Amino acid sequence: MIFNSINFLYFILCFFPLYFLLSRQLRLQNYLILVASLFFYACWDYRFLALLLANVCMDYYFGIAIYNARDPKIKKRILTVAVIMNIGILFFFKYYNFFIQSFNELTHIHLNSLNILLPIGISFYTFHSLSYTIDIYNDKLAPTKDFVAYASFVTFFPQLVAGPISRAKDMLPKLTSERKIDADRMTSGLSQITFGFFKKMVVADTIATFVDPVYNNLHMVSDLSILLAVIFYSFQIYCDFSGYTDIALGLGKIFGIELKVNFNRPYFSKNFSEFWERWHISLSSWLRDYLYIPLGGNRKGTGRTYLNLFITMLLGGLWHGASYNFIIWGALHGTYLIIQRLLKFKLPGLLAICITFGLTTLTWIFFRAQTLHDAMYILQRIFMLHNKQLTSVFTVMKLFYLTGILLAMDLLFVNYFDKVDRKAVIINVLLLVHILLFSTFAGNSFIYFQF
Amino acid sequence: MSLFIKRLCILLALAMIVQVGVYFAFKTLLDHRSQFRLSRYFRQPRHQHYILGNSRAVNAVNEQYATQSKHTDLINLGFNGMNYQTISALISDINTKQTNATLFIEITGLLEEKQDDSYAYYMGNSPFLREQYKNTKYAYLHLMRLNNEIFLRNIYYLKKSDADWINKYTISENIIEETRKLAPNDTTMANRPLLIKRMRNIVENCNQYNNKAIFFLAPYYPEYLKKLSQYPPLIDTIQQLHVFDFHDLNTLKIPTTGFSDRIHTNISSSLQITEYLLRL
Repeated sequence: MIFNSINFLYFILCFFPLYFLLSRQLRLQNYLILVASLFFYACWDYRFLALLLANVCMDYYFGIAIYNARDPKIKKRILTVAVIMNIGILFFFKYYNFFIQSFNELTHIHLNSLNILLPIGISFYTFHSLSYTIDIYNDKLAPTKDFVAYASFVTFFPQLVAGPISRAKDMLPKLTSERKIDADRMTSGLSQITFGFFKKMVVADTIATFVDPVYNNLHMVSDLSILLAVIFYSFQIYCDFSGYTDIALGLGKIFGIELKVNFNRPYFSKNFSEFWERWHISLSSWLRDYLYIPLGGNRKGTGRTYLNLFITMLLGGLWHGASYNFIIWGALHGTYLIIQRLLKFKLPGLLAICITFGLTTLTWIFFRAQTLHDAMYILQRIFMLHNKQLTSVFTVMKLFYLTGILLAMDLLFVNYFDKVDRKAVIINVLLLVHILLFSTFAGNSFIYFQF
Repeated sequence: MSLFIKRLCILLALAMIVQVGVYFAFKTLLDHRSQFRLSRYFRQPRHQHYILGNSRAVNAVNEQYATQSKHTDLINLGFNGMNYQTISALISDINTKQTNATLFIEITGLLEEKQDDSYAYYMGNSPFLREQYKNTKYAYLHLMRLNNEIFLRNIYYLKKSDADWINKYTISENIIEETRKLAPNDTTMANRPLLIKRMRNIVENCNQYNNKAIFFLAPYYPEYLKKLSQYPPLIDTIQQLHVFDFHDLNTLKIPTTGFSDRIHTNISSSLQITEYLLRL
């Protein structure tokens, strides 16, 4: 059940009245969130419901055990077991086959791979719950006694399958204290949902109609088509993921459980540090707090800082999926961050934005291409640019228009949805008109669901 | 809560009103001014010759050459992905408006099964197209009728006509190489009974109005044609029936430079094809 489907509309039409009928009964409301979230997840694949529940129970009790253990060594041992179990499950489902195949290629030994399906959202909910146990270990959080509130935090349906990756210390207070109905906040949520649908259904899905055929038929299309597909993919993935996040944040606002901002106009970044403070903020801050800083951060000298940065970005790439392409994507971002620290001078604003965007766009090639060979082939074609034939001129014109609208929105109407005024109403109506006029209504899934 | 519901209803009501207004504003302007072929047709539907079919028909027949050099009254109504349902609706529309005309129909469009909603754009212009989209979302959400490439083309052709559109590209070495590597394709043109049935329907429809239906198969790039295993039996089936005026233009021996890709011809061969069809 995806946000841009009719089934989700029915789901919300059932959930919404019940949720507000229970507005004075917090515990029952949390039960409803939990049941609705499990139903939402079961609609994807009920077979992995048990895995999700096992993850919830496991970390809930690990949290209590860590908190109750008096001996720091025992605390550490419990945490180690918790981390190994969480990462172990994630590894098994997501990376087992990749490592087996890589091992086979390297050693020429034949170990059998397994026919494993990837449980949707596993990378996200594993990180939700892992932050809970680590925060308890670091004395940043006391374990909650309210299992339902905890389970609702991990499984909260707007953020369950593609984030943002929430922290228990931010979310649990919102689930354990009374939520008040606020018409302005709900209206702001509605505006943000409208903007999210515009990004996803209009910009991202329309771009997909051009980009997907190009990436699937690289040998049949012109160099110019490949170049345009590479550029537009930057906007596709941004609109797809930030569109999903806007819908999730908007739903959170309507239900009185606000989620953390995940995107802040990333393509206006002047360097890569800034880019990672604006792109998938919940993941980059998670990696910073739970990986980069524990590795030593910038406290152990320049060389070690660079190494830590590189390892963090490499693992950040691997988090997205089990493939060399993602590893290279992460490694390239790590390299950019190191080079940026080595080169101490600052470029003028617009030039810096263009260079950062250009490199980010080139790096997305590894993220999008199906194989490493395809990625290298694309790079070769776009730099040669021999064949400039363009068959889908009208689609390309539409894409320029839509990305123009998107950039105008990000430049002129930043977070317009935070205000409840006439301007917001006019923008929302215009966005809805654009949805009717340009949306593909294809019910395309979100790119980040595969992670 | 009630305030939020009220705001939600106002937003939806405003959006509904605006979408109807935007639709009629665009449609009125484009119907009167656009020089896109289908809009030209609905403004002035009476012609001597009509071309119908998908993109292969568009690329095969050069409207400008036919009208200016050959002084023939011809309109090429072919469009990307045009399927049987749309071709049939357009033929019915032509039949009610013109008699003693010749309709040239490229047959691969008759095998197009993919539902293409682009023609909802013209549901207000033709009762036959309106019939196709009744009880669909297009009947209720007017603006969605413009959610297609036909709308963009209508805007693009506000200042100039698409009658002089030509395909000037030549098939690339990459495509030639990939075509050589292709596995035989036994699905294209496979449903011969359906094609024959549809051709019969078209002939019957045209005969009622004294219009003549001529079917043709636009050329394929020869290397690609070799991969279409259903091509020879299809031609045999049609020719053995002796009921259709059918012309396989693959017999024209178009050189490699006459193709823009493996299924479309370009400007150089379109002159040859147009001339051939006009001689019929």
